[in-house]
Amino acid sequence: MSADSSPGPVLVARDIRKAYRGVLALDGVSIELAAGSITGLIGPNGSGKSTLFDCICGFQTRDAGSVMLDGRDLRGLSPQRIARQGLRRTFQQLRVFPELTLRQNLLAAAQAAPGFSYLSELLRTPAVRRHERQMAQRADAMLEELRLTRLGGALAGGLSYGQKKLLELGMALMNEPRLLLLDEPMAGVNPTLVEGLKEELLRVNRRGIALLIVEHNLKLVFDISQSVYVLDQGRVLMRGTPDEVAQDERVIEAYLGRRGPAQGKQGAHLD
Amino acid sequence: MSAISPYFLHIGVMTGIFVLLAQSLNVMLGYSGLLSLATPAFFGMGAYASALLTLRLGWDSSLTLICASAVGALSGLALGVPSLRLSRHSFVIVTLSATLLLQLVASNWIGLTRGALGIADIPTVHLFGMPLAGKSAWLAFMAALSVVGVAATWLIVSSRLGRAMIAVRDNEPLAIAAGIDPLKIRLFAFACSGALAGLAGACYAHYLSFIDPGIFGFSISESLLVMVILGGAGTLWGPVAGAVIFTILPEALSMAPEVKSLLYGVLLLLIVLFMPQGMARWFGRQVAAGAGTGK
Repeated sequence: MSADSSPGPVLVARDIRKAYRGVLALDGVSIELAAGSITGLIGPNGSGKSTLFDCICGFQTRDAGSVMLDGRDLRGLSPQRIARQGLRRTFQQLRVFPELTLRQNLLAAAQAAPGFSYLSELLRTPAVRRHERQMAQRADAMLEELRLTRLGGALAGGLSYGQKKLLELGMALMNEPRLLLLDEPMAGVNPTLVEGLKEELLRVNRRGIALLIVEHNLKLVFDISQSVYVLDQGRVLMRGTPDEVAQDERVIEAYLGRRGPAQGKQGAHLD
Repeated sequence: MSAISPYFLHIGVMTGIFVLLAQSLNVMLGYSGLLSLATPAFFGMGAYASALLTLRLGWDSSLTLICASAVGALSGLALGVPSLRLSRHSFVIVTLSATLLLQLVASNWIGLTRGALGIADIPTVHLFGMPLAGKSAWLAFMAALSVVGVAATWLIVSSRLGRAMIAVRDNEPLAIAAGIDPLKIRLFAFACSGALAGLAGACYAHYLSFIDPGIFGFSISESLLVMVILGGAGTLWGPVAGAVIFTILPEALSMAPEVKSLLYGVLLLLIVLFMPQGMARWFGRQVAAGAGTGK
């Protein structure tokens, strides 16, 4: 992942600090994601992965540190504004809008595009109506792509878990974000579906969307990431290629060696 | 029309007013997922605004009805800015407090509202110079306004902002992650709720030709909750059915207010236990089930 051949980084986070009531969750974390790359973020439970996600997306305020998306400083922006800048996320706990249809879910996710204003929404300006028509077409294409066309008019609350996962991914993609943060995309997914979802993620990435993936399924992370960050006790323990990370003594010590990948208990006081 | 007794016509007019009020609460409770007890506040603001503009400034009532709606919407915004940032529980308390506070203001700002004496001799509505004379004319007018109110609600909830409203209700963090600002969406909902209730208040004032601070009472919220929850919060027709049934039923049974309160309490309990989604969805499911077995 050399810097000279690739375009500038899509995301640069510097020296992020966050404490909860005196307990340090993030102790000066810096990460840099190359545009269009897939990056893994691993670490034992409580190492600060989710907190880092929240601090990057603005869901939690940072005590210190800066985040730049495509060279623009995100300081002081609300999470919804950050989302509109092209930084989307999913949640550890699967979320859809249960009382909206699949198609409405996709449209609701696409509505707040760049140039979005509440006044023009209220007045239903021609631009808003044009955008809605474009998004309706994209929603159809997305349903097709996710093979959910048949369910387009069904309420999302009635979907199976796997279908909801697909819908959630589709919603995050509707506005072609620059960067997508995925919080445990494989959690709760039937092992037989993991391969399919992995293919889906690779396809997303081929569209030029950078991915940052928090995941306990290390095989998957090592499979698809170009580079992996290891977090431990609120610090970046190391960054390297999947091979380097898998063989590093400190990582094995902190994470792989002591317990199975899915259940590091140590440091569970956070998260 | 003259064959119908004035009493029934009166119930019909009141039903129309309650349809507007039920939709006002429905936009908040049903489509935004927020329990607002401020509907009587907007109702009262609309009533006083229209009455005072007509009596003090001599404005035409077709204009003051629109003003009352605007006053309701602005009240919604004014109350929403501080209250919508609070937790759900605090929000309920603040909306109730605002309503009771306005009641106090209406009781004590005697120079403006004549306090507990109330405002009397409010002229009937004039539509383009033509007065609405008699109860049958009022019934027709309120029927038309009810249709307008339901249509307006439909326009609101089927718009992109309405969809965002449901999205924020269903899953707030996900809505934020999709770039939607929950506060602004809820402010919009509150303004719509205020506009509907303000219009209802103006109609009430001009129809009865008398209002007093009792209009800000909690009992209106109580009735509305039964109508909306039993009818089906978050559906378009449920609250309409609720408003019709629960305006007519207490009259038909000629219930004392205490009995009505007791009945509503028991009903709310039963609904929550057996039909938590309200009649509209319950019937919807029965129909769907019937269609399923019919095949």
